[in-house]
Amino acid sequence: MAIFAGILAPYDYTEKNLQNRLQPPSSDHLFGTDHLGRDILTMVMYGARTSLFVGFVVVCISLAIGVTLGVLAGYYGGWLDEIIMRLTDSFLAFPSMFLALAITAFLGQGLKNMMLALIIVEWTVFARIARGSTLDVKTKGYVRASRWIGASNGYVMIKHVLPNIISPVLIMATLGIGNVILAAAGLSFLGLGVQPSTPEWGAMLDAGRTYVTTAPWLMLFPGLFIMTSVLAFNYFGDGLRDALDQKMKYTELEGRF
Amino acid sequence: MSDVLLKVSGVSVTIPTGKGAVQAVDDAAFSINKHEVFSLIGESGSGKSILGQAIMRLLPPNAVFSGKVELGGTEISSLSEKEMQKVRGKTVASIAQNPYLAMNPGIRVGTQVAEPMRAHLGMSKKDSKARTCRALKYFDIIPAEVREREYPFQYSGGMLQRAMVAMGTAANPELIIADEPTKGVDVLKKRNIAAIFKKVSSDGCAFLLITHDVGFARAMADRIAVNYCGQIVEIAEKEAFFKEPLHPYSQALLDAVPERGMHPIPGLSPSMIEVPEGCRFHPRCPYKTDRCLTNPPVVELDGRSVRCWVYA
Amino acid sequence: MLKAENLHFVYTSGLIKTIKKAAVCGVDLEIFPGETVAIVGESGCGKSTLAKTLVQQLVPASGEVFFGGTKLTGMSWKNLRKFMGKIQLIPQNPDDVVDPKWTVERSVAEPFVICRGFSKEEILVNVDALFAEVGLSAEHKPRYPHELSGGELQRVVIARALALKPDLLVCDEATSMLDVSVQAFIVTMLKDIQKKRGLGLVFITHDLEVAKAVSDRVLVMYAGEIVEEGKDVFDRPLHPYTRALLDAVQYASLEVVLPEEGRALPDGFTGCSYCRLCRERTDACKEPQKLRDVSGRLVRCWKSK
Repeated sequence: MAIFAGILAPYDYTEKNLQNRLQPPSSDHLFGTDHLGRDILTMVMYGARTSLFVGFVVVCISLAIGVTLGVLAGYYGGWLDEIIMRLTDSFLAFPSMFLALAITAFLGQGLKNMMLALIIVEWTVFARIARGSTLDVKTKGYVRASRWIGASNGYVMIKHVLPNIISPVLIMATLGIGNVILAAAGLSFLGLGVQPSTPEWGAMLDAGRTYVTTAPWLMLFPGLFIMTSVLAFNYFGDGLRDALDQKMKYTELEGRF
Repeated sequence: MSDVLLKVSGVSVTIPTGKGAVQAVDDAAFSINKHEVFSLIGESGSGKSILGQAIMRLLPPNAVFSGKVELGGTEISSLSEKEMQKVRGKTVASIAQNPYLAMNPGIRVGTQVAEPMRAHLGMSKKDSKARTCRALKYFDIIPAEVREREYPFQYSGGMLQRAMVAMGTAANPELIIADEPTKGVDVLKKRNIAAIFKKVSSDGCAFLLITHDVGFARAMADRIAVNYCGQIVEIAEKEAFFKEPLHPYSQALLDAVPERGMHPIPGLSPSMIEVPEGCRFHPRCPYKTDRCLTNPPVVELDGRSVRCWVYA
Repeated sequence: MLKAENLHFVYTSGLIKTIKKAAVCGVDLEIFPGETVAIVGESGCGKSTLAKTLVQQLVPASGEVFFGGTKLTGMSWKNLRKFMGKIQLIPQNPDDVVDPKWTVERSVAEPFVICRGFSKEEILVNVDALFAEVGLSAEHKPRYPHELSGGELQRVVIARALALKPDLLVCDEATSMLDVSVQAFIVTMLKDIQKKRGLGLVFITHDLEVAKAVSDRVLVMYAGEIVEEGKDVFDRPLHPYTRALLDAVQYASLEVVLPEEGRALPDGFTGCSYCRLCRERTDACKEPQKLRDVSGRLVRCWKSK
């Protein structure tokens, strides 16, 4: 839906029609119109683009940073581990929303700055998970065995450690997308995210706030969409975890026969 | 016969898996007399553990069971779960393979050993405690009064195994099912397990020993049953069995034992999902003929039974 | 070929109060080309630790390991690389040494990939030959470790260990988790490979029957020390501990439960480490015991003659 917003959307999101402002949901405007007479359905669709884009990009970049640092920390241990993990600890010590707020407030408003702030908050989660899993994989015989036939540390990390830690990281990533969408919406709602003219769910909520008693659909629909997409990603993450666990269970059972 | 304790007839267990149904136990029939040590030997994946679980009615929930299990005259395979709980631990007890997994790490050993006494014999806390101490002393866990109050992690592996046997025998069961009691255990500990099992069996308790360890079975058992690929292929008295195994698989199995020269059995163990037609051992059997493609009969011969065409 | 001198290894654990536990104390041993040596002992006697120190996976606290005259201990990892393919360890759990996310074919090919200098075709040919050598068919190749049985997986591990043409294989309880028929297969296969390739085999096991069946020479270990060493150890055991092990295998005198505790000796005790459990102990056992040569046999007990 987000991808095909351009085709599916019944109106242009920039199209303002002041005569039609604050229309309740009708057959012309399924979700109603806002205070500038823009079609809410259209805006929600375009908003999905922004939200999902932010979600994916933020998670991908923080995954890359987090996993790299986490694997290095877990694999080498010692002082490198200490430095990296104390760094993540210090990030984790702040409430994440507060930290994101502070960073955006410092960097200034805008989509890029908001994403940067979210990345700074998110990567620690991946670093923790990657490090934990690496510590586990590191003790496995195949890591020692390939070291013993002369494999370099880099080879072992890329060929053995990464494939074996990827499933918990992926589960975290899908759960993370939902998280990021929510956080992005939150920041936009507080006016720290995107420019008000770009359609974004959080920003729409913010705009609709003043009309909540007279035209509740302004907040209702973007809110519903935030909720469903976050839920969807959480369910997907849960499902993914079950699916990966299932594989383990099966192999255990079949191994007996 | 009145001295039959456990009678298993026509028991089959099928377990559905992702790749197809596995018939883990196929038409198992045997009986164990009172005070007898009966050993079921076979290789891993031959379904012998499943058979043990089937008797205890502790199969995985998706397993399909058919057949009849009688214990001391009552058919336990048709009892309700609630009635079965009264049988488990009281008339028949099982001893698990891994004592570290079988004992609850957060509960004192003494309390765990006393549990069957209190549940099945209705003993008071005080009585059961005294008896627990006696039981622990009996199995050389001394000083029992101190050890009784300790937690599983304070015990050594061998001692915990003995405590587990103490728990299994706490309510004076008539039959103990021990599944692979010697797996991954070194010779000295194995010998000690054999020693305590001997002690328990000399008190009149019957045993069903499920093991892949031929030497252990030889030291312990009165009668031996050989399991191959879900079927019991031979049942015989111990002396007769080790002197002259009848079934080709039994012969091959004994030849593979280190002290008999470690001759490997040719071929691979068949998959339990696609079992061979007819006699399940025929693809690896040196005596195979065309009739082996049909199911072999169970032949009774001097008090032994063999599932093989050669003796038909 | 492989020689260890006065090898020690100490495990340290605990954060505040460090507990040191010696796993290997002063082991001397020598393995000649083409020979099969069995190291037997109960679990926890330090035989696995000894194996790992021999192949340099663990760094010994003191003592030296020589391979063909070159000193391996204290060598940098870079220099050690040259010797790595020559001594290979086959551990107890095969499912631990192959990457669960890799096909077994890729695992067997890994040594060639790591060593470089092999073209794709050469690797394929070599891997095919190795699979054939351990009796696995082509249909096993694209499978993942969880799709193979324990015996098949152990063969994969052996194939992989053979890849770099080792001179010595150290099998650490390599068959003790397997069924008798599979164990017989693996052991016979290893002996065949040994004959063909002329490599040395070290069998570390608690199964005395296996040790007796395969080995030319036996070392009996107790509490980190070698207590007896020789050729016909099981036919004519001299050390009381060896005798106890043999009795246990034959399930002799099952009336009593033998004590398993007693390894904890008082600090500073220098006498025979087995004296706590030994039925034949006297006051003389409190004296330090040395390995003595008793008619072609090395025994760490003053009584034996």
